[in-house]
Amino acid sequence: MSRFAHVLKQAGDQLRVPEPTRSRILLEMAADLEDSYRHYLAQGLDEDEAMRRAEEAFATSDEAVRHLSRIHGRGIGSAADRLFLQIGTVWSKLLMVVLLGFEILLAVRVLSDRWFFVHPSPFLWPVAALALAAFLFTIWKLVQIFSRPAADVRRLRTGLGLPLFFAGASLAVAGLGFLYHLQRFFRLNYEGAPETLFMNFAGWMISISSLMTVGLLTAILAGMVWFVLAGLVARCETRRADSLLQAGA
Amino acid sequence: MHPSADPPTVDIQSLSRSCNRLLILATLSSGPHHGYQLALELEERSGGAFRFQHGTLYPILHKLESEGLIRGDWDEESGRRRRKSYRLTAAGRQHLEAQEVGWRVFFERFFHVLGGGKP
Repeated sequence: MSRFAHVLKQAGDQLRVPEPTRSRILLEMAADLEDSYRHYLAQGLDEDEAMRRAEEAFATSDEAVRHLSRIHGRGIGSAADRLFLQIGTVWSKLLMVVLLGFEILLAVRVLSDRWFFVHPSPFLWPVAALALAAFLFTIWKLVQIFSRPAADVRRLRTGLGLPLFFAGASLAVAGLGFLYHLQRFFRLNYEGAPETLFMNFAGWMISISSLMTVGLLTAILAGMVWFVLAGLVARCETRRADSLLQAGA
Repeated sequence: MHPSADPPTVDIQSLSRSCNRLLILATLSSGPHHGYQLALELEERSGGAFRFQHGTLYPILHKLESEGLIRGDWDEESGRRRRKSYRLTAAGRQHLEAQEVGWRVFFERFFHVLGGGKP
């Protein structure tokens, strides 16, 4: 609840940007308005005068609103924001659950198959470490989203891009491992006897297929985790901004 | 300053916008600032000459952020109060340095014209 709810509502009505960007802008304004108000109070003004001065300083001009709408109303970021909010529909929720369930089943199947780890690639361990880091991050973020009070909403976006980093890094490590093993395989067979070719090839295929499978699974899961978390955070931001606005309605 | 020097990078058509962007980047070069703090410091540094309506500050900050010249993060300063803090990125610092040179040339030419264009 904000003492400046009416100002925020007015600014929110003028902004022509998609959620949750609109909510993020309003949250930023709410924090700055509060700072400004406290500054005027510290200068010795009474509460009413401090509020009036803070509101005056934050009056958004039509031109400023148009600029903000232009900046946030288009582009990939805006499209992603619109997409996140689609998670709220029943069908998209169902689709996400099915896809995540399928991914998790596949991951369990891979991890429980001993053939995947007969000739483990040394590159498999960094990928596994990235998968573990993505898992721990997800738990931490989910705890943050569901257990913290509404006032902490602004912090939720911190580090939200990390799952994408984990996804990219696991793909990069797996790709690098593939090239390394490919080079090693050809080098061995270039110098080695022809009768060992099949055995070398089979060993190489086992190493490389397990590495690529685990790398891809990690990347896809981390990507999906990012999408779900971003959607949840967007939802929290929207709820927080709505509560700020409703307070002044 | 000789008129045959490299042309300034300042676009005279959007002088005010360019000026505001540079003022914000220059203020952020001294360290991270919140939106409100930024407006206060700008006013203070300029001896009250540059006053920003805080509402008009957001489009500039968000544009600079979308261009990767500054980065905004939510941080905690005292107790439970959290605010969005902006800091200059490496690209922003480079941009600022390049713009400073352009503005110096611009003002040298400006005063050259005011002085009647005499060498």
